[in-house]
Amino acid sequence: MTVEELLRKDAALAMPAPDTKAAMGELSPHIAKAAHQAKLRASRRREAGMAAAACLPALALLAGAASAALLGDWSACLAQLAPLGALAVAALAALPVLEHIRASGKNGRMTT
Amino acid sequence: MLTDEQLAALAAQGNRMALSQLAERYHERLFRFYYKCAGPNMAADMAQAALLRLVERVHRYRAGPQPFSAWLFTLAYRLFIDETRKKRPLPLPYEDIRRIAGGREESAAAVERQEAQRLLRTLKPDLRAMVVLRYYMDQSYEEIATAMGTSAVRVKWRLHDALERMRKEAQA
Repeated sequence: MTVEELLRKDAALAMPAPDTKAAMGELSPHIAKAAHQAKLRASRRREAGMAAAACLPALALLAGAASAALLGDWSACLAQLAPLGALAVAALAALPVLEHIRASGKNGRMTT
Repeated sequence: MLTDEQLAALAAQGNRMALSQLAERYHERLFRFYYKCAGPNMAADMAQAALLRLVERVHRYRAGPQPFSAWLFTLAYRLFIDETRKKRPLPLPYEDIRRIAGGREESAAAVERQEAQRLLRTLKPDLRAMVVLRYYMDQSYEEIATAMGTSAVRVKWRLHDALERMRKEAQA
């Protein structure tokens, strides 16, 4: 008999079964904790995505203003910067609301 | 029934039931892997430690060309290697021979098992794990390569080398 055949034969023989029920019982609190953390991570990822999406129009305006300034077209540059200022004010106003959403998400409840 | 990959994706999003089901599904396979690699004394503890690692790291799992089991056995293999580096490896199982042979140690099955275990024991831990993954866990060369962080060609070559060593040992 070759070594390969010997190993395959041994693999086919019965092995003692583990106590899966006990193992799962021990694992249960860890599973609960990991699931909670995964939910938090997913929520943070969503927030980061939203923040990145919110930044895109501002970046576009900034790029437009910069290119207008390079071309010496100051009126176009100001036209681009004006909505950027409005956006900055809006973002500052929204910050406390976002912070509240984040804090309530961390505590596991959504109050808004 | 959901596949392992679907369960892992759900578990990564924080689905408790999916994570629990995944752990339960793999407990016996992990136990069998460690039973052959590390011996009966360590098998249960190591299988539990591997499940704990699964629970803690499932959010890092990304579905790819390899099945979920390849990803899980990467964790299991690394855990085994870490353990063997930490302490002297315990002897491989011998006490189950009587149970399998029904009390007749002379039976062919018992003798073959004893011989297989003796030969496995002569291999270094990484080679032993490779042989166990291939012959006891029925993993493909590609899956073993993923678990060990190497190429399938190298796995084939090293497995050939391991079998050759065992053959020489058997003849000695």
